[in-house]
Amino acid sequence: MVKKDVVVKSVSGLHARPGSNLVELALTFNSDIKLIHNGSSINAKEILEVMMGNINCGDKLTVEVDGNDEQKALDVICEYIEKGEE
Amino acid sequence: MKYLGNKVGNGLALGKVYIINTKIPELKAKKLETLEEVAKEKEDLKEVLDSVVKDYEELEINAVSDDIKQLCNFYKILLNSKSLITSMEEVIDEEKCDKITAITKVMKRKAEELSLVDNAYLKERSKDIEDVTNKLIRKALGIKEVDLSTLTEDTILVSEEIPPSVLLSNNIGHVKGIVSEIGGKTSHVAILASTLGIPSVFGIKEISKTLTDGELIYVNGNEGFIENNLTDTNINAIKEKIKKEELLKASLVEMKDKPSLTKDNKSLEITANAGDLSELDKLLEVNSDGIGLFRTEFLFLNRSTAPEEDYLFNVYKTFAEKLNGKPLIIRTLDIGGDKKCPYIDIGEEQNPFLGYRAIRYCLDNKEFFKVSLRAILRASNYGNVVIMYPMISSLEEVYKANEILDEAKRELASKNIAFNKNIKVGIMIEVPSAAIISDILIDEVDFFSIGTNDLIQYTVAVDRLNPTVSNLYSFYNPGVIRLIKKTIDSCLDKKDKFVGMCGEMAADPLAIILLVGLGLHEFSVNASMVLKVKKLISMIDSKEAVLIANKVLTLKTAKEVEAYLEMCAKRIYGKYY
Repeated sequence: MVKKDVVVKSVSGLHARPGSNLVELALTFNSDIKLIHNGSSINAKEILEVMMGNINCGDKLTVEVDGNDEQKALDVICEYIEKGEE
Repeated sequence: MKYLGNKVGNGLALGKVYIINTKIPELKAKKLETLEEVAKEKEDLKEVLDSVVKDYEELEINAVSDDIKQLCNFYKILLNSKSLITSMEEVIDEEKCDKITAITKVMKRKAEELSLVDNAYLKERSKDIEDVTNKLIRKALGIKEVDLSTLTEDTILVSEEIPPSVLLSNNIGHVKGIVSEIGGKTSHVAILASTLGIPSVFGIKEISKTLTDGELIYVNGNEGFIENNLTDTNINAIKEKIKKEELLKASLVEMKDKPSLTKDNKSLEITANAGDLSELDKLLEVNSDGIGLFRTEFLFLNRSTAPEEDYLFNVYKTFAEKLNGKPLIIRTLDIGGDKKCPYIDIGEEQNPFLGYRAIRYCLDNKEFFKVSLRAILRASNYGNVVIMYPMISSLEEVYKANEILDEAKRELASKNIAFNKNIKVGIMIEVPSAAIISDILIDEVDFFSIGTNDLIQYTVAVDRLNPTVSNLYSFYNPGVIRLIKKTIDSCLDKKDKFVGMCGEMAADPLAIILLVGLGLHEFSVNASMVLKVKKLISMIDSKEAVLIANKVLTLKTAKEVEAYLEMCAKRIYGKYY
């Protein structure tokens, strides 16, 4: 299992569009991907969990990835979260 | 007969009523007997889900707009959820029930979970889940979707609640308007209707039971009403109006890259009001001269604790950077009145609009106020950021607010955090006392922004949402016009200072002529109105407008003012009005 701390850059947090895009990205990996936010664990492949996580801009997250493509997945997911909107 | 509702915008339409009934027939749950039946039911379930996902994929590929693409994508990801499918299968296994019962049960639970979260956005998304559920059930039952591609006449869709899926298809050219009983401004239907430019009015009670299929109705999405039982004279006048509106609309595209000038080349500013994140893209698209009113409330509402400084700073910085040097006028928190936060204790009030509101609360809660001020100051390092205080009614309040601002500046300076030391500070003029002493206030600030919605409400002492007195609420009330004139005159000959207006009056075609004549410099309007206002202003000669304004100041009633401006508008706007 690999993990990394990130800060959400997207102005609209991980609601709406950035949230769907994150889930879509997560679904392309085999590994289990979790977002630890304020002590609760959110499955990054479940859109409703991500939306209800109420993750806002500036929030701190720990991304935890476990599986055969974990390093690649961690890099890609963290990069997305830290990038914010174009 | 006229029915009032909430304006969703997008113009005017005339068409025949088409009532959409989205109710699913009552179904009896089936009991499965054998293991084979259970296995078969689960297989069928999978097939239904896959087939609906495929439908959405297809709609996503053919989508005509980004919003539609986004919604289809959301539905697709939702149905790809492993936990969703597993839960449905579990229900079939445990209860030995049919797939429709399982779908309904699981989806209902999800929708309930979402609607319980204290967040307007997520509440609306629970409606989307109902929409998907119904689609799944229709698919399972083999019921055909509402097919709008076979329409041959101009049609107005009427429903208790329009499911967004109805608007996802491409063949809706004959859908000219949308009317519904439920649905808010942030609902997906409202967003899609705006994207597709379909005039819409929501929130008219019982309307799907009141109207009959096939009757001709008029939808005014700009003002928020519909009308039926139209006479021939009515119909002709409406058709004429729609034609002019379309002509004006068609002329707007070319306005995008033009500077904001009057007919005689007087340079004005046409900025946009922004109140949530989705509006940023829209106002970049219309190329406004900046944001004249950035409502910060959306960052504070729908949450259980106050937002942190970093969070606010990030949002302000993003907007400032995207505006690329154009002004971003950030209004500090306007809480109270009809807007409440769980972590802000306003207390019970008999008259919230005359109570503990906006700057009044902030001045008493200095540390809370400074969080916002520091966030704004820090963002000022990344663009043309300007501060505006709401609800100012006296000079003391300006002094006090500026003292707190100075404190916030000192705090940042002591930590070596960069900010614009000469950041501009202005106030809203929305309380009559502030307008009356505007000649005193102008020496302490860099600009005024007249907030007409509240200014009229407080000046005429009328609640415009109360239908029995709302006719008193008028842009053309001579008392209101005198206060506006007084405010603008206070700024005359003050170097580098200006007066703007945010509020619906700044987008009113008749009022615009008067405002140009009175010497208003900045018009801050909704993003969707920016190009229209720019176009209207480009047809006004500022010297002629001065003469018109002088004449208006001699008129004695709102009716006379309106009639006179109406006459001027016909002459000035010509074929567009």
